[in-house]
Amino acid sequence: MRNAICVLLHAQLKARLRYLRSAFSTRRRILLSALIILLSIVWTGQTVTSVLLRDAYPVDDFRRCVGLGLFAWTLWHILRVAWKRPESPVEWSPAERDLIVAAPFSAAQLLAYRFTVILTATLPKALLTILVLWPDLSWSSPVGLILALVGLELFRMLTDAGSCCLSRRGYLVFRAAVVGGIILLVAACWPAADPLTGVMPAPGVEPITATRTASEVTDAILARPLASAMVAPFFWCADVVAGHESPTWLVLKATGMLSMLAAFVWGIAWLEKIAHRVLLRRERLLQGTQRCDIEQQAESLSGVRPLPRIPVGGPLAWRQWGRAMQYVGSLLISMAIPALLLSPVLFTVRDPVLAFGIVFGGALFYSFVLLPEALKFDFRLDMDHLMQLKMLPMSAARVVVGQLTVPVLLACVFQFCVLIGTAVFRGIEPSILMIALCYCLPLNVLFVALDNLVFLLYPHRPTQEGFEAFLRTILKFTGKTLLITLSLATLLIWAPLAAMLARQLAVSTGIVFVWGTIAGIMLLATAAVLNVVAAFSRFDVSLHAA
Amino acid sequence: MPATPVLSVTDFYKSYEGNPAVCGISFDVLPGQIVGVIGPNGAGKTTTMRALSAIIPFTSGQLTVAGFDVATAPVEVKRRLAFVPDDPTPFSNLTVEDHLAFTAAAYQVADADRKAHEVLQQFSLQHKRKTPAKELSRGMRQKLALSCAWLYDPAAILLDEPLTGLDPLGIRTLKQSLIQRASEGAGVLISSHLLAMVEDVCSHILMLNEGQQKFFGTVERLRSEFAESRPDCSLEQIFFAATSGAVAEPAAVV
Repeated sequence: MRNAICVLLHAQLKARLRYLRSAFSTRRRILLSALIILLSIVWTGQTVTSVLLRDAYPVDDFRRCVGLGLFAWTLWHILRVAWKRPESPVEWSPAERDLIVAAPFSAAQLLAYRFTVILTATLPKALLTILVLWPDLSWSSPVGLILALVGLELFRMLTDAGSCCLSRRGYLVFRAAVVGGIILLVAACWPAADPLTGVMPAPGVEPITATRTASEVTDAILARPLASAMVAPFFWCADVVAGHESPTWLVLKATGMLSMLAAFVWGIAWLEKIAHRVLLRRERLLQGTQRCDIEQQAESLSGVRPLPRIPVGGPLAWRQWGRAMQYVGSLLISMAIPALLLSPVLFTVRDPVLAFGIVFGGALFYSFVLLPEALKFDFRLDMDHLMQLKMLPMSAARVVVGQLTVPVLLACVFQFCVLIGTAVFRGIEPSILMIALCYCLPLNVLFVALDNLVFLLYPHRPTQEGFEAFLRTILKFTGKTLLITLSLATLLIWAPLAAMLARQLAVSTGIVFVWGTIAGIMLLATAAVLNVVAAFSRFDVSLHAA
Repeated sequence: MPATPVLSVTDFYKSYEGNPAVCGISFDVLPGQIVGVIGPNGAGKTTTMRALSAIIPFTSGQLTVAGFDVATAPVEVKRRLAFVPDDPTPFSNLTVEDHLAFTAAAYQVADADRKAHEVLQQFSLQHKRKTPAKELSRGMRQKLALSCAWLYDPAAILLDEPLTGLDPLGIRTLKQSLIQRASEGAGVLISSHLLAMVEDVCSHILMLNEGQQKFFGTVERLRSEFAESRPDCSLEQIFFAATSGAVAEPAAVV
């Protein structure tokens, strides 16, 4: 039986390599593959050079970063489970469920398989981290990093299994405890991190910006007893990664980490057994209620509720909206995090208009580069449904409008909230705010249309992982960086032209510049949407989606 | 005066990246006719159906549905046609009821409420109304796709392997319902490897092999053309005769 698991893992590795080979040698992808390989070599070379040539961080700073990073990651796993409980204690892909879980393996063997998969996935991550942190590492660091990363993965499994063991009431108590704990932690640490103390200029000096360093803020927070107690175990791991102790202590601490991993493994196995019992009991309890529901549904004589009347591809927009609302938690996180990351600007930059400008630029940059990845409620999540979309009795243009509406609207909501919040907080003139808001819609149409265009020209599954997905990401982000550079260069050329034009028309340069830019963006957005329409019309489902 | 064909295919060619999939096939489906498309794997059955549904672009030929040209009026074609693929993939997050509401909105169905109730009852899906599509079995997904197709009373019905996954009651319901729709004037095209079902339901046969049209006509004419010496032979035997060149002996029952 154990042999079968080894055969499977070996076959999976071979299959991945075979897939990679075929993906690169496809005729229509060969040019792109060559470009991607070239870019990866250039980027990797650049990264390696910049890593090897840089100075090492001070050991204390490095240790603090590692410790807090591990703490943040652990906290994220707790928050994730508190927000959404997994359906089963151990996560299985559909293929694994059909082939491995269905096979005659014992629970211990299945867990062993899962641990092997985790270890094989963690090793490359650890190697990459070692490469990036090379100048800061000591002899104990590789061991520390591998143990820490495996530990995080095992902790994730532990929280998943643990949450499945809880009853509905127990889970609600756990959720309340997590929320309460976070509020308590923030309340305890806030005075030390009060950002307003950072904007006080030195006596007699009036700088535009005034900040405290991150180290100063972190030190002040960690000086609080509650915070230092919470992060202590993580700094234990950080000591091994940073090589911050004598060799004997490092060996002892590494052994401690290893013991912790063993405890995690034992804990997962134990919790998994309990979780199965709990899930079985829950199923039996649900059976009665579900039977009643089914009977009620069958007896119900009503037909279907009509959809809200939305013009142009309305049913599609309605469907995408429903899908987006299923991921409302992830959506809020993907919008709250950048908003939080932009918030220090409000406290540190003294000039309100400059602060508003930085927030505006930051929000647009995020909306172009990263936000579209979180707002895939368009063609990109519909790889398996492209045939149905093509079957609909609507023109390609209507389908495209219906498909793109929701991500555009969501991006606008994010930007409007950030910009209006900033304007209110820093007392920005309404006219400046209005101009900024006018940019949002055409820019979001352009951003979303570009991502969809690339998808329809080079379709792929959003859940796809592995080397090919990694290289595709490199290509996409390189392309986006080039586009940003090109846009900035265009603005630099457009600025003096706008001034000249304004002189000739005897109007303000600002008006010509702003409305000229908005008109240009609208033109580009229209062209991008038309290209999406053409790409969707030409899309051959027999070649791609079958 | 002859009736206008619901489906008309003239000299249809389709190739994938230079490899021919269908080569110059021509046939018409009149209102009330049920045409069975048979042929081995890779014969071009699904490609023909997808092209007729305006889902995939085609290389050359003329395809019309209810008098509308597939190449120039795809939206009008889709409004009048229902295509149920061999493995329907409904939108996983929508419930059965949501799918019907979506279809009613997309096809602008009048009196959707009553029709939805009828199709749910017809395909025994009432108890699954609130179930998300991702939780449906293969057969239930098939029934859902058929329910959505029936909701807007299409003039042309294209079914690709429609019986896969259906339970005996579902199979019987589908057969009866097809015959009823045809009697009401719909033109039906069914692709299937279940030759007994084709023999049961279809009035005409379109036989394809490696993208070529081997035969199109009534079941009786097929019998007379391919099995002159064996008038009692089954459609299965005729199929082998047409695709491999010899009338096969019936398989021995062990």
